[in-house]
Amino acid sequence: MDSTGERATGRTVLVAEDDPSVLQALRDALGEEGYRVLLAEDGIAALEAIQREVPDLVIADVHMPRLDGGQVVRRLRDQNVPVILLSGDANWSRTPGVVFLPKPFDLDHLLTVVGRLLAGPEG
Amino acid sequence: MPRVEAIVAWSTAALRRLLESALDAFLGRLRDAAATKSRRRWRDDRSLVDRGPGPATGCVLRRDRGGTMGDEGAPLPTDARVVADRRLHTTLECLLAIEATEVSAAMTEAAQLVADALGADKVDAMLHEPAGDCLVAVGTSPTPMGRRQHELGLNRLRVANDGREADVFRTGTPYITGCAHEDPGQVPGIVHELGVRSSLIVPLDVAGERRGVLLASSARENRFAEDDLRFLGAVSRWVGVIAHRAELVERIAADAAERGRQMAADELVTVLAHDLGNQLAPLQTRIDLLRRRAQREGRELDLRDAGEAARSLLRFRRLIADLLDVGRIEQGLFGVEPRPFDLAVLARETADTLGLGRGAIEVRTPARLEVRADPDRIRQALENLLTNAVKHSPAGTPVLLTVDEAERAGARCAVVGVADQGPGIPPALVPRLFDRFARGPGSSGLGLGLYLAHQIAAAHGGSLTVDPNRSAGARFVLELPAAGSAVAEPNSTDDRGGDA
Repeated sequence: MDSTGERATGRTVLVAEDDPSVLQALRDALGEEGYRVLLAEDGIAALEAIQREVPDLVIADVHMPRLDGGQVVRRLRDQNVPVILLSGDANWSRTPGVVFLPKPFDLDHLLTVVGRLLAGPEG
Repeated sequence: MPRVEAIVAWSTAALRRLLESALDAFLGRLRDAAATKSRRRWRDDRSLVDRGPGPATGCVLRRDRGGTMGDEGAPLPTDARVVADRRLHTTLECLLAIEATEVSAAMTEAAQLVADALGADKVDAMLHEPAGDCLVAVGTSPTPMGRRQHELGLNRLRVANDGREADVFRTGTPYITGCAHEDPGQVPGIVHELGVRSSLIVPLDVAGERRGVLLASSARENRFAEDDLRFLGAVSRWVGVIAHRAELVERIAADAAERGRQMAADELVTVLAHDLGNQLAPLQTRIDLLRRRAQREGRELDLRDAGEAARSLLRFRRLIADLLDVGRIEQGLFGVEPRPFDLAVLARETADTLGLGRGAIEVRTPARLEVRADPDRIRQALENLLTNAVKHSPAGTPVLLTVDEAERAGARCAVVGVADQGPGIPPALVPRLFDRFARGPGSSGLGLGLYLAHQIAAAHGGSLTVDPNRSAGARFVLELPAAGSAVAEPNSTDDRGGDA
């Protein structure tokens, strides 16, 4: 698992999640893997953070106040930033081209998906 | 609940229209018959009836058995039959105005109307209650004698104890007496404690079925005549119609309320399961973090404990997933995404990863068997069947998981068998084995596993049944349409269920 952290060094992941306990758990988990983690407590805060700095990847909750994860995905369409959407509703209608993980998610699986998306098509 | 009210209002209006139409026809025939016999003009005076302000409760009958005089002093028909017809006509009109949304209230109102028309001290509409084999006064005129009857507990009469009410209920033959105290066939309490001297009893039929009796009582001797008995007989048919209408409305309302409760429960389950999923997310992530750190730093005990915690959480997640699936099924959102895959491989993997302990499951599959189905859902169904079977297996006896190919009605299908050596399925449970929340004796689950497995099979156009020919233990058979043929190799046998 250490190798994941070495691979991840220097990559920035924005986590948008209105539940502080999930937000902090993801911050710790991604941080331990060597990612630089940006945090946003809702969709609007996520877009503001992206305006300041475009991350390498976004992990967003589907259901958030002010602006939900689906709308964040639509606003990011031109930025070519990969997105992972999280939701407690496994039946949520999927968005093409976006990775969807139902909550609660397996951390190993999430980190694998993060690594795969950051590696890009060439990786 | 607007939907329930709408259903009740609609059914009441429809029944009212139907009854009004029938009554119009009936009254028309009465008028024709009376006109022919008496050859007198039918005059629409209001001498027998005073109308109050409301359609139901404002209908008041005044008894006048000796004929009437018109308001201008002109001679009116004195023919007894005409008077009787008028009384019947008026009573039926008032009965029709009863808002029959509840049986007891409607029967009480009807009893009061009939008591007024007969000048009786009490009228009862009694319906048979099969559970206790009793005639129960579901509606009694709120007269002093009626109230006294309830105080004495004489509103329930056991059929086995006989009495004239029970006789009429059994035989259908009307009964009349003006000297009840001299009739040894009367229930003693009715004569001695309630003081009934005159009595009329007729059968009460509801929807063509004998359901009880309608009876009128008086404390005066020889209070009623044969005309009154005929009147009560005619009225009882309409009281039966009102009872039927009220029962239908009650049933519709009860069904609607049950559907409403079910919908509310399903919605609650879905919301609860969704919220639990959200709440578990940070817990799952923290446990995973501890496990990864323990692994990195070589802390074996912490690694083991984190693994146990993760497995406990996994079981909890499965329970939540089951509850969510129940909600989806109820909302018509449950779907499958079929694609070709190897069922034999999936069966072996499922047995391997279920974490039920080494040797818990014996697997017999062909080398390959391709089906077209949703592998995630089939895995879920297999997990539910295997977990259920292991739960009911005596210690040391493996569950047998088999995968075969068979032909059903000219089509090939895959057949998965899950057999245990437990106590078998109690016969009483078999008809509802695949119902939601069906649980057998000693079962500790919610009763969703077999229900969901059955729904998954149905969603694939397959089936899940229980083997009726099993002499010991239980064997479930899951059949799915096959997409390819089994490779013609000998079945491989393996013990699965190793530590996951």
